[in-house]
This record gives sequence, C-alpha cells and structure tokens, in this order.
Amino acid sequence: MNSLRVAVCDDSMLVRKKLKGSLEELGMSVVIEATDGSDIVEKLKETSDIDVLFLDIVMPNKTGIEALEELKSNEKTKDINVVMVTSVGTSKHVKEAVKLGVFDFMQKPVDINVLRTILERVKGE
Amino acid sequence: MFSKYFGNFLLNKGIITSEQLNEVFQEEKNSHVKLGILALNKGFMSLSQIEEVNQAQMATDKRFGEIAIEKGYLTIDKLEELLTGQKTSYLLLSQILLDKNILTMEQISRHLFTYKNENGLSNEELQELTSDNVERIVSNSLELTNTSIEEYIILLVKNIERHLREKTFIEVVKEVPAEYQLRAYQKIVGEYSLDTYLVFQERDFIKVASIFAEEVLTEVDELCISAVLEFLNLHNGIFIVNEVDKGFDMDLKVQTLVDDLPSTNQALYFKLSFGDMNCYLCLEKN
Repeated sequence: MNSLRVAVCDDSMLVRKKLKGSLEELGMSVVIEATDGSDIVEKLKETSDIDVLFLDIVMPNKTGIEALEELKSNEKTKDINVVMVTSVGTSKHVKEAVKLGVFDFMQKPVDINVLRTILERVKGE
Repeated sequence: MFSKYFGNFLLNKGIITSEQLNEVFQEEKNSHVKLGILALNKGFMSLSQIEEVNQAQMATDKRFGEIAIEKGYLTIDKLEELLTGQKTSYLLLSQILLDKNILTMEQISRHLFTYKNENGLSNEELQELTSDNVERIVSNSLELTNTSIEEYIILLVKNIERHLREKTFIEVVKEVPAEYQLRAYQKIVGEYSLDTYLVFQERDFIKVASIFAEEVLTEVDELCISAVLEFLNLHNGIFIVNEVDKGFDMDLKVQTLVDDLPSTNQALYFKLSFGDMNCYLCLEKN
C-alpha cells in the first residue's frame, strides 16, 4: 500500500502507540501526533498537508466532535479525511460526526484489518 | 467463574486449604480450553475467522459463539457441540479436586448440596451457577436492587475475562484498604450519572496495565496509567452503548486518575479478585 500522510489524535498514550504501530506496519507515516482536540486543531493550522486524521471522541479541552467541527469549517483543513476512533460509538455521536462530514468510524481496540480497509478507501483503492 | 465461588466456599468451611485452592486455580487456568481453540481443533473455523471473532468480541458485549453465528462461521448445532466439549469451571474444579485426591466425588456432591441449601438456591438456579452463567452468579452473590449497577458489574466481570483473561470473584465491601492509592475514575453522564472508580495498589495496577497493553511495564509511568484508564474507558464505552440501545441518552467524560473516593455512605464498594490481583470498584449513582 502506498504511504499516506497520517495524523493521530488521542489523549491515551497507549492508543496513540498502538495506532501508530499498526499504521507503520501498514507502511504509513504518522506525521502528527496530538493529545487532545485543541492540540490537533493547533497542529493542523501549521501543517494541513495530511491525507487522513484518526480522531478520538472523548478527550479533554476539546472533544473529537468539537475538533471535527472546527477542522471542517476551516478552508485549510476541511478536506482532510477524518476517521473517528472510539469506544463510544453511540448513534448520537455517529449522527453528529456524519453531519459534520466524517469519513469513517473505527471501534477501539484498533483492528489492523479494519484499519487497512479504511486506508484503502482513503486512497480510493 | 463459579469455581471461584465454590472454591472459596470450600476454603471458608475448612474443607480445603488456601494452598490447595491456589494450586487448583492455577491448574484450572492452565486447563481451560477456549471455544476458539475447540472450533479450530474440530475444523469448524479457520484461524483468521477465530481472530476476526476475537477482535469483534473486544469491542462488544457479545459471546464468541454469538458473533461466530452472526458472521456465519458456526451453526447453532456446531456451537452446541463445542459448548458440550468445553468443561465448565465447576466440572474442571471437581476434576482437579478428584485428580489431586483432595476430595472424593461423593464429598464434592455433598458440599455442593450444602452450598445450594445455604444460598437458598433452586435446582435451576444451581444449574445456572454451575454452568458459569455470569448474570446468575453476580445476581446471586451480590443481591443488588439497582438494575443498571448490576448490569455494570456483570459487564465488568465479562470485560475482565475478555481483556485481562481472568475469572473474577466479587464481593461487597465497606471500605478500601489504605494501600490502594491508584484510583482510575470516569464519569458517565446522561439520564442518570454514574461515577465509576477502579482502585488498585501499585503492584496490581502495573500488572493490569501490562496485560491490557500487551507489553511488560515495570513502573507507574504515563503509558502504564494510560493503559488502565483505557481499560476503564473501553468498558464504560461498551456499557453506555448498551444503555443507549435501551433508550437512555448517555455519554462519557474524560477518564483520569483521582486522589479521593466518595464516602462509604454515598457509594457502593466491591472487591474484585482475579488471577492473583485485586482491585476495588466504587460506584456512585446520582
């Protein structure tokens, strides 16, 4: 699989580490790591050249949904494919995220096969 | 799981020693054959199908057989055949007690009869217990009046089995010992709110983190803390998805370590023993 430029945002160091490990195993390069919603919004203001962002929902400072809303309303970041990674896949979150233009959802703990399928979709394969 | 309860009953009656019980539990752990292994052995499922079902099981409150049937990997008949081949914890315990010449078959039956009478159980209820029915075991041992709290605990016991690969013995307690200073906390909010705490001493905190993170951790550092908090978050996530499915509007706040616990007259406290680890669960429903 050709490499994509990937960003990962989760307040859990364990989830970031596991996700990064799986992405690298699939040949992707994780170019941005962020620890909460505010952090990712700030970091993407500086470098928006990202193909896909894996974004947690329940996080301090700014939730994943709030961050998604900001990213989608910013001309510079609105086209980034955002995948919500969560243990809380309730219909409320799904509706909110879909309305905001989320690309996909991924359930925790991360499954490398699901990850591969999503990345293939991002690349249009 | 029932073996933990019946084993402790035998211990409390002075019928077996704690050394014998530990030996039996160790043996039981080594002998338990998972359904996936049985399915592979019988040629009912491929390794990749088993891995797929195991992965799906991590994120939902469903049994292995249930998911395998949904995905079309097993039929009901084949699942029943596998379940028959998988010994319950009570059968395994009995077999080990017999093999080690600790008790005779007649003595085991007699003690089980005493257990049944002392707990006021019907034959059907005893049958459910000896079949490792988690719902019945938790309901029978804790006698909780609050349904959502009982469901929370049943799910936690299942998640300890799924993610930490251990059977749990759970009891109601009045307080948490002073050495249990590491307190993982998460608030569930919505139509009702529930403050959830998992409380550990350092040794067990590191062990739980190591099992969940699938790597050897040796100190309470950021990775270790994030592993325990993520276990709590994952469990609470599945719990609220179940609640939302029932029509409750629920959500989660960010999980964190905290210094304080609610007072004992505000909250319910439980001790959970699994493997050689202990932790305390504290639930405060508002």
